[in-house]
Amino acid sequence: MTAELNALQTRLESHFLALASTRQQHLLPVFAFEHGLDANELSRLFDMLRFTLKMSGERLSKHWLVWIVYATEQGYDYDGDEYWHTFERRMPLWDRNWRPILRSWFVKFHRTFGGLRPVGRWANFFSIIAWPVTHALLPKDLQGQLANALYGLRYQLVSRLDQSALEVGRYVAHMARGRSSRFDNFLEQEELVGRIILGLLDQRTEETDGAILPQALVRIVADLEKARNARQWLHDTRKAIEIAKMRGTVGTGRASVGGGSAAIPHTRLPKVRPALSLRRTGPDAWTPIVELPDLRAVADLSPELGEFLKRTRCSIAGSTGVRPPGWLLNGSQMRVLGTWPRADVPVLSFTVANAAMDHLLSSEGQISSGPYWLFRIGSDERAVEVLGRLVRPGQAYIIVARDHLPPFAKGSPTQILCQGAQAIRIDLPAALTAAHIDELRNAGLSVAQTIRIWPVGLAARGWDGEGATEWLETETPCFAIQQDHPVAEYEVRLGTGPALKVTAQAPGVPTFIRLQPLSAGNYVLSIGVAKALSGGTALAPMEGVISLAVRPPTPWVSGSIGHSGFIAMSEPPEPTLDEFWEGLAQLSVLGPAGRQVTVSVELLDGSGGRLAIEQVGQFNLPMQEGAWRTAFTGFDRRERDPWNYLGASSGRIIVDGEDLGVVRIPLQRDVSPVRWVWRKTNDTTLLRLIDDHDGEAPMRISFHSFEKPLEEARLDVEMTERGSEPVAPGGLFIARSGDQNTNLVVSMSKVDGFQGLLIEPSFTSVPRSKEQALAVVRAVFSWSDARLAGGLAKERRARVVARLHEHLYEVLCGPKWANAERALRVSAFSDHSVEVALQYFEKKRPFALVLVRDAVKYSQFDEHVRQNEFASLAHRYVVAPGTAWKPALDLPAVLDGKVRPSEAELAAMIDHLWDYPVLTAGGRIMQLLGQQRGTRPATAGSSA
Amino acid sequence: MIEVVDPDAVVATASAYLGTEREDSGVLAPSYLAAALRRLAGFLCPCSPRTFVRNMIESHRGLITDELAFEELIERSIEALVAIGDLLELSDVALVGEQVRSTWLVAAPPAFVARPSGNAFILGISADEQTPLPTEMRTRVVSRLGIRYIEPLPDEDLAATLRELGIRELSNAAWLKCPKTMSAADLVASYDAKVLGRSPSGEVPDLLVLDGSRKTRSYKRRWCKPGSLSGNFIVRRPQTFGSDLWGYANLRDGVPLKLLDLPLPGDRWRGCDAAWRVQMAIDALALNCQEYRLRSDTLGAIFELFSPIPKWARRRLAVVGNEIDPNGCLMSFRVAPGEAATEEKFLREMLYLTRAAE
Repeated sequence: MTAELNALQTRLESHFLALASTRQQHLLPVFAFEHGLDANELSRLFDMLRFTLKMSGERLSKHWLVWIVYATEQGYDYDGDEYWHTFERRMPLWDRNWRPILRSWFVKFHRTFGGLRPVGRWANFFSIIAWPVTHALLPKDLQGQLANALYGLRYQLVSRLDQSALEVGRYVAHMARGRSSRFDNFLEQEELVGRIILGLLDQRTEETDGAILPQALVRIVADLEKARNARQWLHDTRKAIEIAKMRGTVGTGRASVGGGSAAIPHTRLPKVRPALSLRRTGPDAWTPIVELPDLRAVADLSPELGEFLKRTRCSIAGSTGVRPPGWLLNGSQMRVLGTWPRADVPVLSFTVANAAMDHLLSSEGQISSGPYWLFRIGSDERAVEVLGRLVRPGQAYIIVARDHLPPFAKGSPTQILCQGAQAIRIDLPAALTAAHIDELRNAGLSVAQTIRIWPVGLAARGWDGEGATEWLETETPCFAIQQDHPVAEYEVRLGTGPALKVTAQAPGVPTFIRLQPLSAGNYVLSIGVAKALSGGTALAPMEGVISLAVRPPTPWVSGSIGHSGFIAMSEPPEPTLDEFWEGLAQLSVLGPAGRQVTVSVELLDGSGGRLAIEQVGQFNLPMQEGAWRTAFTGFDRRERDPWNYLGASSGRIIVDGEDLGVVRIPLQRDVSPVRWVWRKTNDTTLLRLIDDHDGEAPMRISFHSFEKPLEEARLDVEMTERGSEPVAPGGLFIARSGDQNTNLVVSMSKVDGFQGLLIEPSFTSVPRSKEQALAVVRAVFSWSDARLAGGLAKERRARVVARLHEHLYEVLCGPKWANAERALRVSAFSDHSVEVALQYFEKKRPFALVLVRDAVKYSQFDEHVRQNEFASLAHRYVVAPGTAWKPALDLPAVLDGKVRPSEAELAAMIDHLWDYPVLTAGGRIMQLLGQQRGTRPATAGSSA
Repeated sequence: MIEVVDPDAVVATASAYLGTEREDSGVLAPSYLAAALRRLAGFLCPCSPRTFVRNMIESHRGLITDELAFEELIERSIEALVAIGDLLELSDVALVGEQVRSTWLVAAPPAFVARPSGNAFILGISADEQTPLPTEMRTRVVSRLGIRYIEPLPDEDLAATLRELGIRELSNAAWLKCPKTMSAADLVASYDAKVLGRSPSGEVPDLLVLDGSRKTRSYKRRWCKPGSLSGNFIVRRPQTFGSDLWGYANLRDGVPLKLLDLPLPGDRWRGCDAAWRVQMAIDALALNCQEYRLRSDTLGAIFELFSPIPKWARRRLAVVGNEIDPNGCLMSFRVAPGEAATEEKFLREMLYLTRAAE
């Protein structure tokens, strides 16, 4: 068997060498998955490796390429849970201490054959398993997710297939994030992602541009197609590309429609132009409405723009209030205009500047220029703006002006419910006199009396009744043409393409024309009278013009709503799972009153599979902050098994409105290579450490109890990896490797009566020193940074952290201050306790008196104002003259987690405060009283 | 390329895009109308039904001869889409400004409801596509009178497949939820009490009254101006924004004294659903019950209705049976012969209908 293994090693060397020489010409990487072995050969390979492990004395490195293939195959099967667990289960005699050797073999593969070196944050974290997983190209559990992502982006991908693999991969990576943490990690390998996509969709393989071995690609496709939905998604994506290829519109700038280069459309930018309309809201009153287009197409332009739109609030000129982040990514939106907007500035503005967005809006984001705006009244009591300012006999219109309305003999004043605008209604008779026409022309309006063109069959998007239409690439526009006077022949032309002569029907009888589906772009369809019948007395214009803005369809995304009747928003827009769990995310849901939504949180594993779903509450719409806060507090207090929370790689907030739809808000989490999991068995609960980091630095595990939070107990690494039951009431577990810490506060629910719910930390008396102070600050960080598991974990941790804060000030300011602060806490800040605290300041009492008196006021100031006031007081009362006062105010912010200084900065801060305890205590008393009294009426003790 | 085509080719082009089979009735076919309206909903919503009608008429000018008849078919089709759940009528929602709360039609997001038979109703609209289903699944969608469903393949768990494709499943229980059973007298009494408890309404312009005393089966012909009517009536009036507003009004000599807006606050159904049921109860109390016709053919029992029914009732009949082409009535449902008695009981107890004499 050894000989066979030797032969396989030699075969793989030759294979990869040949592959490498081809790839080097194109500067392309080689992947271990491209080993070229079939299923039987792989099965034999596994057997041989198992056999060789049984042979003592056999050097593993002799067959390093075979091991790489084995490791890569495990990566192909990897589902995001535990790579090594599967690896070692399938290879029982493998020694876990050999793991780093595997990495060295992959590095050798990289150097020898130009194998891809994994990059990105995930690859840095998971320094060994990143190699086999990346070299597996597209692991099985990600295939469906990639197929679904491509299906959702199929129309957008069409125009990008002529780009480099890196560009394609980068685009998809940015657009398709959020399906699962594993998929997000995969997307970090942008160039690899691009190569796989081009291979799957464009058949760019070894044979064409040497990217991926066809055999490897075939295997991936075969596995992908085993899942029916993935097969359907891939099929439709390929179909969309095939159709685009047939039309010759794959890639940018290659569009050609209507024959001849003259018909090439103008470059199309996403629509950002606001549309105006009027709605009749009284017998003779009209309310103006502005409709802002859906900006998903803008978000598709670049990932940065997408992020910007997702996270930035906006406001609408002429309409009050600020709209929430992502508002324009839920379909088009309408607002009533209370004030007529200016025509020279964009209607939409964002609270934060963005050069690309500003550029887009500056060119097309305004309403049409005045001084008059023309609206055609329809049968639905709605008047739509006619951008071309073309009027027709027999129709009714509203004309809006900012200042002076044009004079119309047939006009009747009408009311527009909007400041800064006035309106007049004109009902044009079927036959216009020369005087009418003059009046209309004087108002800058054109009169159409000859040809009428309208979309027929399929209605056109954005049709204003006269000239503007919008279509999808997949649609076949048809138009009807009709004239009201004798015409013999029309001439129809798309852009500057060839003209088509069409024999006209009798007046009043439409002629129908059909265009082929057009590729994305802007087109102009013009219809002119080629030959008028004698006796025709048509008035200008003799030509009808229709503009066609053609865009690719925007596929629906599962978990989104698509209508603006129900909008769920989170603040922050994309909270992490831990932020959500700790109550730092705020949810609000807008929707029809009287309807209900159910909000749940779903916990997902690395592959996107559901671990658990927990209901937060049911809410009546609209759901505001208070309702969410109350429900979340109840949710937070419920006893839950922490296993799923700890084991989750990501999550989702699910807002379920039954037939209104469901909105899923992703909750991301950085999965650490070192992580704690909570395993529940029949008779016990085990806390276990998973270590996928495999770093050089040894792992160190410690435990700090709630009762003695500063005291460290070392735990055995192997025992912790096997799992152990934490001792009640629990405490802080820290796994430390190099400078990486993974902390978990475990709160055991077994308690003895009511007292058992509470914990009271204590601190062993040690001599005061700067080092001791630093140790306490570090402990605050460790406790604050920890994830939480178990009932009351949050409350117990809060208690520990609060006592650590007190203890730090005891170390810095001495026992007299410690006694004073304890008295403040115990007496709930009674006047007497405040007096005790003031006594600490001795000669600097006036300084402290002012701080006590104005603490609430200071707490409401902006930070820089508070700092200036503090500095001014310190200077006036000669507290630590000539020295920096800022660290005394910075320390509370550091302890509260608002800023996190480097180790050197922290040491310098403590060093400074050590010498100025009065200044330090001043900062502390201002913070304590500001927090405490800011929430209750002032007491007598606040007077100086 | 540009080509000159005849009207049939225009209709065929539209039908092909909409994925509907070309029928002899062309643009008047219910499946065509439903598909065209669903496409419109993708870019017109939120809007009022009148905006749908306007756009449909404008884009079919030249293809239709009787605009009024076309308009009536469109209105009927909109009602069917709302009843089945492709469109949602949202009341009391601020879509254009916090101060402007009104009723709108919005496109429901894609979803499905699994029927006991294993079939799945396909509901909802995605803005730019007829359905977000991939081609293989899309080709299996059957459209009957605008209602779309998929039949399962042998041994196929259709619901699971649709869920995997990202389509949301609506529970049968939630989708088929009905109001509680009440006698006609109790229902009318409760609305009478509510309307009389209202403060004076003042002048209500453009009011239309549903006059139950008119001896006609035509629902449309029962609507009239208040004239000199006195008593409590179902009424309708144009709304500032969105759809018509429904209500229950106390009139004296045609002058509204008090007005109760429908739906009632917190009611999950539409104003018209409440209004139609109350009118059926009023008619029953006046010993003038609205009628349905029951006949049978080789495939089952056919219920024929002459007035619109609340959407919860329509959904139930569509789930228990199938909606079929109406013949001399407003809508028809065919159910299995064994289900006829249960559905008659449902119509009698929930909608106070009686079977028409043979």
